[in-house]
Amino acid sequence: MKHRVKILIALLLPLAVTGCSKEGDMVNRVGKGNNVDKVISELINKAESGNNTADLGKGTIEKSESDSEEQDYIAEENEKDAVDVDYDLTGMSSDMVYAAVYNLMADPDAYVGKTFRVEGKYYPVYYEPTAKYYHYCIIQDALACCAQGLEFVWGDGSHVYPDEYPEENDKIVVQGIFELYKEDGEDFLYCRLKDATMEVISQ
Amino acid sequence: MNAIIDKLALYMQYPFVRYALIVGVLIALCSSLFGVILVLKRFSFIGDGLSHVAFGSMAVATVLKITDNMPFVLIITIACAILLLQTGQNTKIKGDAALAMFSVGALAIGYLLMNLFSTSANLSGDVCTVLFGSASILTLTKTEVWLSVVLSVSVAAIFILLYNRIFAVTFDESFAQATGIKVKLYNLLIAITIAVIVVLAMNLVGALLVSALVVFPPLSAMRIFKSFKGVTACAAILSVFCALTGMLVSILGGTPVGSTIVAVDIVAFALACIIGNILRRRCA
Repeated sequence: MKHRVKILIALLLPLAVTGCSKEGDMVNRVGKGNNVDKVISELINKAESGNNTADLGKGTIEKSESDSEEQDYIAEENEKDAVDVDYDLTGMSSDMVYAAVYNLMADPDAYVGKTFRVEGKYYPVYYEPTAKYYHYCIIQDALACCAQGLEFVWGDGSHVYPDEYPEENDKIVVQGIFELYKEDGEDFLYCRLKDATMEVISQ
Repeated sequence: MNAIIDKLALYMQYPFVRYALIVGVLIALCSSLFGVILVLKRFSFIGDGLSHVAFGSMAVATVLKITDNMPFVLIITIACAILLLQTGQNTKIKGDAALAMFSVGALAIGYLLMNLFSTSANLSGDVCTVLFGSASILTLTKTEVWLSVVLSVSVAAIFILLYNRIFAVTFDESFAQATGIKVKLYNLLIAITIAVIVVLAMNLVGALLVSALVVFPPLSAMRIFKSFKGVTACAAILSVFCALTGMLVSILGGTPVGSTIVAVDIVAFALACIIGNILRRRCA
């Protein structure tokens, strides 16, 4: 009898360890694919089916409907970018995102020239000394203590703020090439994603 | 299954994930080797006490703004390990009382210092990371990675090269002394090595869970094997397997690294108990 109780406890122990997680969470963390990929696939499918709207679902970046060629171009670029990403942080768990961003900030030289895709909240900042707006993707971490803002330059930087940019705190996916730079007359080293593409995935 | 393999392949592109797996496996190996000695010498709780000391010294290093704090933490922890294991027999405050004093004292002073001289916006998050190792192993600097590899290899080498003498000192100090082994020197060596393992293991499972990494694999191995060699080999294999499984599960599932490894260790212990019982019944 004593042995049976021991065996029963031993068999139930793994259940006790694993039984507390929500089914939804596990699907989200392990089984579910990349949301961004889905959005991009939908975009490409729509573009290919002749519907030149390049609709990104709920949060489509507002663009003129007349420039359908530009929409096609974006879809093609997204398809190309999806293949060329070196580090995709969008499908990662929160702990891994925290670790990835920590390492990005701790050893930035190792990541210069690499293409990143990150998901976070859009946040613009006006910096008086340079009289410029800087655009950030705020990435939350697992501990919710070290939210990290990653600066990005959308395209060639010619997009007009605020007309073409999303609202503050909109959820965005940014993909760009990591680079380090210094502002004129400053010794601080900044990092950003250049030549970035941006998609609004929810408002 | 394919999705998991794809995700793992994706994560393996990141240097910090590869470093974490290498360092984690090495730490698990070292902790299990000397864990057997700690368990047999009835020093199981010393790992816990020393990890609290390491937490306290880490807080001091943070206050002093020492960026690479591992060497500093290592020195303080080794000093405390020597104090506890060497002078424990001759002082007014004996063994377990001295350990408890060091343990809670260092923990309290560490938290107090982190509160008074906080350098971060989220103190609870920082303390939680150090105590439970939620992502510490994934955020090692290159210096820490190399230091961990060198120390782990050194610890494993010490164990293999001095296996016979450590075996003698572990089971019967009087007999070892009678055969000409310098018992005090070997006890000092064990104390230093344990301190090194504790500081390394803190990166993997956090300060509060270090004991689990040291104690569970040897205890699981003891359920199945009876010889010192068998227990040591089994503990090493189990520890590496559990650490690797725990790290992979936490990386893929987004769970905290330290507690996931310990959970896998608990499951392994339960399975070892069942296997041990079956084997005993067959032999009886």
